[in-house]
Amino acid sequence: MSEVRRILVVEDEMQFAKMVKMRLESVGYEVDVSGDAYSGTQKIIREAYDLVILDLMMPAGGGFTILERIRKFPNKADLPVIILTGKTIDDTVKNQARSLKVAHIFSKPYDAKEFLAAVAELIDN
Amino acid sequence: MTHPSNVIRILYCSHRSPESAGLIAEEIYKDFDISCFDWNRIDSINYEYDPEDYDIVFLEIPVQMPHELAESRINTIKHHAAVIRVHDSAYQKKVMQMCKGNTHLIIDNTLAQDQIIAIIHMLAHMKGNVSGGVPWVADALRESEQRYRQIVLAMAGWIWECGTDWIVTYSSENVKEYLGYDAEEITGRSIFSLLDEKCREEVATQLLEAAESESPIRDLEFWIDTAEGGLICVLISAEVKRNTHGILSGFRCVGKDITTQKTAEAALHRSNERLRELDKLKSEFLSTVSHELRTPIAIMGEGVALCLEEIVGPLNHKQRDLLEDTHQNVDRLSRLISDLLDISKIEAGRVVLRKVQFNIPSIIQQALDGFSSVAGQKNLEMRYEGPLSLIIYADPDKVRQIIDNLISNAIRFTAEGSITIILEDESEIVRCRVCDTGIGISKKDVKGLFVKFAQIGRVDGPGYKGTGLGLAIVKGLVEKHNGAISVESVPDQGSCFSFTLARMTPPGIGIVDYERQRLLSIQSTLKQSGYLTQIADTLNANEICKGIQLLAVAYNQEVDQWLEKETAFVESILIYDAGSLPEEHVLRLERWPNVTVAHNSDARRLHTRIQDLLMG
Repeated sequence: MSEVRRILVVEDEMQFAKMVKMRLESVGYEVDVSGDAYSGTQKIIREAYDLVILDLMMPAGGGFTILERIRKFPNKADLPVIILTGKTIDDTVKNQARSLKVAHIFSKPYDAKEFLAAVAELIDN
Repeated sequence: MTHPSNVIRILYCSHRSPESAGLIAEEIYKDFDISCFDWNRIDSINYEYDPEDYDIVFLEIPVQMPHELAESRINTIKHHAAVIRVHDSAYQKKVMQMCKGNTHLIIDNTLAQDQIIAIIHMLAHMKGNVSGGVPWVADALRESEQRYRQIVLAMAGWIWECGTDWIVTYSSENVKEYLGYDAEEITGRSIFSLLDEKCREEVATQLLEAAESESPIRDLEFWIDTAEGGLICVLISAEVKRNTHGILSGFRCVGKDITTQKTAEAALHRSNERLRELDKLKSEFLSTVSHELRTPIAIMGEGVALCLEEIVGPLNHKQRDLLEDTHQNVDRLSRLISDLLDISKIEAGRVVLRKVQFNIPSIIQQALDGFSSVAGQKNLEMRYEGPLSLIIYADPDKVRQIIDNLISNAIRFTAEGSITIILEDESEIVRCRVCDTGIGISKKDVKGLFVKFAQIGRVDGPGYKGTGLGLAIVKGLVEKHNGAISVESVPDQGSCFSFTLARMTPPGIGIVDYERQRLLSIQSTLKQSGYLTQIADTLNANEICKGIQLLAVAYNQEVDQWLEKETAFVESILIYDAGSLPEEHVLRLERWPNVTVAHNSDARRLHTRIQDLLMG
């Protein structure tokens, strides 16, 4: 496919965001970074990303807050989302993620291979 | 009529012939010193004697005596303690009413003559006590009183009695040691005036409950204000006192001072509370710290990984070597944090198993596949021996974690040879063994093997490092599945870790839905997780409630009525599709302790809800 796929990383730890961006760019994606839930939500609504990667705990609300807002927009209802978090992934997190149509949850630190495979699978679909 | 003061006077009223009554008289004469008695007999209706002149009146009421007559006879002795013998036991209740609450002793004609004489003896003793009594009676009483005192002191208890008005009628003298009051100060006071306010109501309730249930009271705690203004805790055992008519007349109690014990208990309770609080803080701390640590570790790991993968430029040999060491240790640090979190959850009993039915050989295969590249690097052969299908009801993630841990250990400590996983079906349990041909473990080290951070004589090879927590976690998870873990090992030949998992039965779930299509879809979702299901399209099918742990019911009007009758029969009830109900209605349904209401009817969501409910 000739068209470049666009990914948004919403992550308040900028050093980590920088590395995720680097990793994704190394395999040819175009990556935007947003440092908080507010600007993240704005970007998702205005732009047309192929995939969004969300942190769960950030200033101005976590990934779930963003998802609750954007899922109300018909054109964002099925936008592929990956959660990348330092939070313990318990049943509450899993259930909430499932109900908000999150495709994958990765905990930090992630396995780069698995992460890239999940990204590729979502974008190619 | 005047009597010497040391004479017990008995009036015997009977229908019997003078001869037969005389036999009793003779017996009494024989047993008692004749000078003690002034004995009379009446067997006609006309009283020649005034019962008031006698200490004991013995009245026999024959079967054929008209009620009015019996009543008039009883009335003549109304102020007197009398023995009334009733020949017709069915008549006993009636006689009791005739007595109008006077404390007469009512006996029936099943009593033998010697028993009657024993009763007269007993009454004679009592009378002797009241009136100063005959010399030998007084001696006997003094002796028995002394004995009683000794027993009381030996028991080191405070003995007291009170009436139904809670007024203390008797207190042993040693009350002084307990409360600082003299026995005389206590008698005549209401027991509640002594009790600390906080325990008054409970004490009264418990005493009255005991009186109703006819059972003695054990271990009732009284907090009592002492004369010195202190507060002591007295452990009370009480017996119910009844009068001759079986009517509650008060309580007889024995108390023991347990203040020291209670103070110690309270201190223990406080320190337990504090420990629980600290434990909670520890868990919260661990959880926060691990989260705070994950991000910097992720940044380090990712930074090193990006360099190692030469995404940011080429590396020379020395740079690569150092970065590889760094990367391995970042990994190790991150594993250590996960393991610490796991072990703290296990130790705090907060591990929740998400049990479903699954094929354990598939989980083993996945684990083997996961380790194939690591094992391949060391040229180790990996084998599985066992059935291809063996369904168990357990938490697949936790079982995978157990197997992963054991395989990972086996690989670490095996330089050459093979790793074999053997699975056996032992009907009640399944047994899984992970065997290697590695360095083995000495007998001495086996003991401490499952203890966290156990320092044993095994030295890790190069590469992957353990955290010292793996086997402690494995043991915790196996035990959570009601299983056990053990190890057999021969140094330099290999180790074999064997764990069992209990074969648990999946819970039964009943589903009631009037929409057939939805019913089947929910059933199939639940079946996939291994639940045993029973279905019905109407609530009238009571069969469905048999042997199930949870009942899922689609809401319709029937549900309200049904709940009134049947809720107690099912452990847990989930009412779904209740989205259109007003809030008050939902609250009304949820006032049943075993009822939960779900608004939607989506099979997947219900499945999650049901899992949560079954976990408790």
